[in-house]
Amino acid sequence: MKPLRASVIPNRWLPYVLLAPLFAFLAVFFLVPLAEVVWLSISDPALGLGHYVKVLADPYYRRVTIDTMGTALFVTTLCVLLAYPLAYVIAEIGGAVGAVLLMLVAMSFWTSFLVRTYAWMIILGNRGPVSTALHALGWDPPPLLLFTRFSAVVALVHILLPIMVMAIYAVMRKIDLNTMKAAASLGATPFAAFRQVYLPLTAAGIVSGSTIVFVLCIGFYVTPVLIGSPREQMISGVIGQQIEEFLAFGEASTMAIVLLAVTVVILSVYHRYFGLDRLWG
Amino acid sequence: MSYLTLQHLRKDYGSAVLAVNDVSLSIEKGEFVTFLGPSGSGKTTTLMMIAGFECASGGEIMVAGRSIDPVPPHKRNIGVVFQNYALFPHMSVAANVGFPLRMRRLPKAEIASRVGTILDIVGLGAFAKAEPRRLSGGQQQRVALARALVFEPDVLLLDEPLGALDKNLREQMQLEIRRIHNTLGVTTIYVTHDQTEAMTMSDRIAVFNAGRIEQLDVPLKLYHEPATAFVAGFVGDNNVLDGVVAEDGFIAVPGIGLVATGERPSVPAGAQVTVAIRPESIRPSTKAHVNAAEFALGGLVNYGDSVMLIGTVGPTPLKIRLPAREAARFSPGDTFTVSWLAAQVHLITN
Amino acid sequence: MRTTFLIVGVLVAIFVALPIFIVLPMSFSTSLSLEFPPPGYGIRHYVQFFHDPTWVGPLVNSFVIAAGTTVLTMLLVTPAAFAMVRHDFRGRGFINLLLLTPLIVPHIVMAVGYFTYFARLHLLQTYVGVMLAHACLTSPVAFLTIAAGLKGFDRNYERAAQSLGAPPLVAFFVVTFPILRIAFLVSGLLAFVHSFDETTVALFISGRDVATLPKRMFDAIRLQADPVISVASSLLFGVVLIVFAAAMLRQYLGQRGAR
Repeated sequence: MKPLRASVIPNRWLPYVLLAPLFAFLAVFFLVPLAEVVWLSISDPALGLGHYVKVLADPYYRRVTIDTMGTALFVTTLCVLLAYPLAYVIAEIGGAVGAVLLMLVAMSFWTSFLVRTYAWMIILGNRGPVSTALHALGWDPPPLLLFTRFSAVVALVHILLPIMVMAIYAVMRKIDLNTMKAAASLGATPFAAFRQVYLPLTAAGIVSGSTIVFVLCIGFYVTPVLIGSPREQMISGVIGQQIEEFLAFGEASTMAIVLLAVTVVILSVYHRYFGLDRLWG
Repeated sequence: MSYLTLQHLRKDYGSAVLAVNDVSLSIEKGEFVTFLGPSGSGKTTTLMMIAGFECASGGEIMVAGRSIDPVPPHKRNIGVVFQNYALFPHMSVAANVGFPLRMRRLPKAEIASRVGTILDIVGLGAFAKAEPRRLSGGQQQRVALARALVFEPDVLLLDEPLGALDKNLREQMQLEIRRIHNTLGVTTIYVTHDQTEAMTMSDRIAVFNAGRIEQLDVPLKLYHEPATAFVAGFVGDNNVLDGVVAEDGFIAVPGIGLVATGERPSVPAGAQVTVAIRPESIRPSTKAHVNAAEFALGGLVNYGDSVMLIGTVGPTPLKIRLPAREAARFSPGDTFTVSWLAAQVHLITN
Repeated sequence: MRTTFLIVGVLVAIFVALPIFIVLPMSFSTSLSLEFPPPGYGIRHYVQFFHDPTWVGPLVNSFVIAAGTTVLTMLLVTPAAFAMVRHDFRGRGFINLLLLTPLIVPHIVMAVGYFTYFARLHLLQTYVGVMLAHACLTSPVAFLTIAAGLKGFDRNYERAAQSLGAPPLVAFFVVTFPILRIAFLVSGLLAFVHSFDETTVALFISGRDVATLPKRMFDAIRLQADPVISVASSLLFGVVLIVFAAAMLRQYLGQRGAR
């Protein structure tokens, strides 16, 4: 009896061959520049960890870092509080209203954040509707709303809100409504059923949405730079400034690596408890 | 002269557990054989090995005397009907059915004529231009069948094709498939876990369990003379009772006492055996010495034309099937004598 | 409780949607300042935009770069998706993580890296440079889209095709690819839109000659508040809208006409 030939087993090398182009491409055009950033942080202008020492010790850098984290935390919290009801309406109330709301969220999601930032510059500008309204209410001259921490937060919340909505909605969609009916049949008031059954079931969505939003927020360059306060910069703004204005590659790289490190730590913690594949399904 | 032969077929997925464990059988040309068994018994895996989509870990498959193992699936000339039909959604019914003929580079006119003929045979002549997704489950089924038959395959394989249909449609399709088989005479292997379906349609049935074939036989013998306890319990309702061979060739079964079978047991006294008694063979009667017991009725299951009486004899559970009219006089909690004929007791020696 | 959520939810939705609906009318404003609501409507800003090569140039650049990025990304990502979904091999988990790292690294970090790295390779301020960078940045999303489509693909279609006589490669082109057309389309669309909209990295590496529309817009906003920027905004917004409408239309048409 002759052994069976592997006529239908795929070529053992096939997966590697199929992966090679993308892998090689990423290695050359992604990993190398990334490694370059690491290298620069410890080699420009001279070899050593001087930049890291400065970043960790210098009060200016410390304040920037804490400001960035604080702002991101604030933005994330606001996003959760605002996104949850909206996601709830889309998921549970549904119908025509839900469909329209979902479409609005999707449209905002797909609109470039540059466009959305610019829209807020118009709205909060001193010829914009908010200023006009405040002026009409008797506030003369109306306060400067743009280029403040406030305007940065508003714009960031607006830009990141759709992401939070999608994350929470995705989890809400999968909730079996029968669990709520069961809770009611067992004597729970609507509020108790919500707090003890529905809310915990959506917790995973809140966590994943918050993780994504927080990570995106601390790394955000365009919006805080355009619409935020030039005196209260976030990390990404400092990095950009150091490259553009001071050509200080060493410092910029160091801050970049610090930013990357924080991002990686947060995602690693998430991965350990939840698994990263949950973030992108 | 065997047309399709499986010899000592084996399939393992890398672990120690064998999905298919030494399966051998011979099928005659034009036969309709069913692979019957629970999920995970290896019947679908075996089918997939015949089709060429799984590679056997050991053993051989031969068609018309030639081994087909080195032949890739697209050259095997074997028709396959999948559980979810796998009709190409981006092609019309006619395009689907004509696909294998296009692969064989037949002239357009011939393709059109053969597609027309086979669609008429399955009763879908009017649907040639339709899209698969607009058809009902039963109609999609028939398109899949037509597509697998139009190129006159050596063997036709069907993998639980009727699972998604409701009961009435299923019974209708069972007869349809059998009729088409008789018309075209193609060697057919049919996989199912539904033993009624197997009994209705097959020339022979191979009962699969845990990767092996426990019995390969014509339906009636499978029913009346199961070779193992598994087959006895799987095919139709049955009472499968453990016992010990006693003196004089009787079997001692707890709760019943002595059971006499039609033949003399070939194993010595003291050996563990299994007896199988069909519920419809047991009737209420007056007391007898052997092949009788006191039956305590626990509950009734009404099948419309018959009733299954479920209860115990001593510690042993027992099921009795009576015509509805006869069962009417019994209610749960009743105790009465039941008996059966020795000829209806089937002995299974392990 | 439901009513509370309903009211808050709708208010939030209005918050989310409103600013987008500001940009379009602004571009038709007759005013020269960022006055909203606009005092009147006209197309003077559009005329100014399309007569200004410092705006039209970047618009064209963005299209060219996005198109090139899309092609490059799709060619790289498609075989990789097949490898990851269809095969099990050593190092699969690691490669999976690696393929998704561009999603994890903040764009500003990559901007620093590309700035110095491409300077050395003389790729700064070139079409190729931006396309290469964008291909890296868009590859994870394109990959995930095709992989998702593949995972949901019923392999019985391919098996049926083979059992009917189609060799594996023929089965791919005649059965697999047509059925997966949507996934490929969506993947390409996502890559295109991502590249078209990408701002942070483009700011640092696209430079004067090859400036993308977002970069031009960013510089303009920083330097002065000019309503012509609204035109750029509307175009950015419009391109995305048109691309998605076209995709949905094609899908709708594809469903209605069968072969």
